[in-house]
Amino acid sequence: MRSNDWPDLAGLLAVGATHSLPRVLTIEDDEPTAGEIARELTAHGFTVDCAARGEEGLRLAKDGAYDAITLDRMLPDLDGLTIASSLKAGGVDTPILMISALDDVDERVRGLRAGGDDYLTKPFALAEMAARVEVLVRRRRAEADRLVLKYADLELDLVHHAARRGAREIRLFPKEIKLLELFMRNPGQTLTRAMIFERVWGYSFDPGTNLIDVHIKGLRQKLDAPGSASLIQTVRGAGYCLRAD
Amino acid sequence: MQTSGLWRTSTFRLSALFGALYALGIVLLLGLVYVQTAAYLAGRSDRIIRAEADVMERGGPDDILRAMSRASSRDPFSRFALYAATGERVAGDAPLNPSDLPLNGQPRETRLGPGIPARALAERTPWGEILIVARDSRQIVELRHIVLSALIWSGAIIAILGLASGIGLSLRPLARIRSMQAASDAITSGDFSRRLPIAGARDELDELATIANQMMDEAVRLMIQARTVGEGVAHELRSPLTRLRASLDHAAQGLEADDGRRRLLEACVGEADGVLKRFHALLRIAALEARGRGLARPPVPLAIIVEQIAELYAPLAAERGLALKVSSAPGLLIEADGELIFEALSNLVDNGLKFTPAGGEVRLGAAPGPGGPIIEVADTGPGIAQAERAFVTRRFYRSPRHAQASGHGLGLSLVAAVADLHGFGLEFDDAGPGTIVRIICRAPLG
Repeated sequence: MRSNDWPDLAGLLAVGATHSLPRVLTIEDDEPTAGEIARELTAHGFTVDCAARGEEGLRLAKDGAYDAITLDRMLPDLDGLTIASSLKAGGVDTPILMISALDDVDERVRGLRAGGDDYLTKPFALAEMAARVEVLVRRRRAEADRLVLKYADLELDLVHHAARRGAREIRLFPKEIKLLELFMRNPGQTLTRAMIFERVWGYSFDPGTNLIDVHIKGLRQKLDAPGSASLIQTVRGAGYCLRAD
Repeated sequence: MQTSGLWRTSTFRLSALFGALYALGIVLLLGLVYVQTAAYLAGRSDRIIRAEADVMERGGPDDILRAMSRASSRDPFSRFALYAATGERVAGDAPLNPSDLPLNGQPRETRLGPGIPARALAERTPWGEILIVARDSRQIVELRHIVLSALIWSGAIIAILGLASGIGLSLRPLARIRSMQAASDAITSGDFSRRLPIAGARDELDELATIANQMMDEAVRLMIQARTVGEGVAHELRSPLTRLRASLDHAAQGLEADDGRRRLLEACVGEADGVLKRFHALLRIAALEARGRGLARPPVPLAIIVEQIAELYAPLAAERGLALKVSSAPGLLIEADGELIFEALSNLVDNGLKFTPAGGEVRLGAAPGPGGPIIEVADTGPGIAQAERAFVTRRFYRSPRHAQASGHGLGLSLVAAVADLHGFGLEFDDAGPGTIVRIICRAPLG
């Protein structure tokens, strides 16, 4: 897959945005890591600003209208948790991806409670990080409270727990509805297996084997007419993506 | 180790031994005194009766009667009798007949009636009559009784004192041994910061405890070193490996989908992912082990966890042609980190699904047990050989029989770490055929 296979985020997000390219602030004291994050996000169509120190990051985050922030949990001057909570307290609702070397359930909960919107453990695959930032940006711009979701000929009614594809009614289990909702709220975006497991099941460990794949397979069988191309496409080496070609 | 332990302490044994030796010495001493005294008193009696016999015979047949009455009035313990050669009694009141004693003039033991022991001699006087001289020896027998009861009493008192002092002296060392045992129990159950208590008495127990503590320090140091080497390697290699994976991935993306080199690069990415997963699991187990026990946790209903696992794994089981059966008694609560228990159970169920051949079944059940709920994951797979059960929770252990199966050999280590963190038991059993893994939980207190 080439980078131009990634969804054209700029195009997708242009509607309702005050600027053409979504902007991300990366607060990270480790220069090589900051460089890698910036490169990867730029390749995915973001404009990236970097801050190496917490104070500077906090100032930039307050002034600049960013669409997302990647925030290192451990900074030499300010703690990542402090930055996140003071941003939220100051009314800045920019979504934050906390990045931390601390791999612990409690740490994760602390990070999310302080105002992080997502949490990623170092070291991470750059594609995983980019996928999470994309979801954060989209979540902010999309109408998160919409209860009837539509994509191509697929429709999901979250009030009546009903799904249909064209004229065909689809019966789904509650977990399948959550799974489909995740895809339909993030159309055209790559969702990694770890993200899916976190968002749908609420657990953040590695579920092992091809557990998520089997669930996706089950959902595909219900959504797709036999013989036709699937709406949920496999992104090799990364995850899955809802896309109608 | 309760009272039975008391009899085994070296202090008790020593004092009991000394008590016994002392009692034996006293018995020997008193016995000697008794034998000597008895012999002396008997000898003295014998000399008296010999002398009295001599005195009487010296006066000849005319004077003997007077000598007898004189002696009787002087010495109330001596009794006499004089018999004519023909056998009838001439004088004296000693209740003895010439036939009772040999006529040889040698004093010997006899009786002056029921309960009256005596020494007596009989001999023929130079003029042919038979003289019997006897002496009441009740005093000697009484003395014998006194000495004997002294023997018994002092022996008994010494034995009791020895026993009591043994118990008394052993109680303190025993209490120290018990506190050492408590400390070593705590160490065995995972509290490596505990050490054996030192009383400060600088005795042999303190010395032993000091040696054991030094050994513990060294063992803990080595353990931490061994653990941190592995963790350090995992930690240090994660970042470069992640970068390597990213570069390989980038390189792969740049090639056409049907290019053979792309497949090769993607295989490399897969391998790198495998290594990263192993490192991740290793660090996670290390973090769990370092976390330590004793955290208060809210009670978690087991039924919900079991249900979630069932829902998560049902499609995988169906795909593998296996039946996944779950059951949970209502109202079971455990004090645990629900996410970790979920992770542990998902590991066990995943293992069951991995190793059980198609057509078999995997059961997950939670039921009340004597000490708390018991969670059981059973399968109809090949089972774990008895000899292997001790190894399966070791890091990277993989049964030689399943070398082909996917996985990194850390799943059961993680399960063991989670169980250990909560103070839960972990048991492997034979389902005949198949494996049963049991997590024995503690019920919430109160």
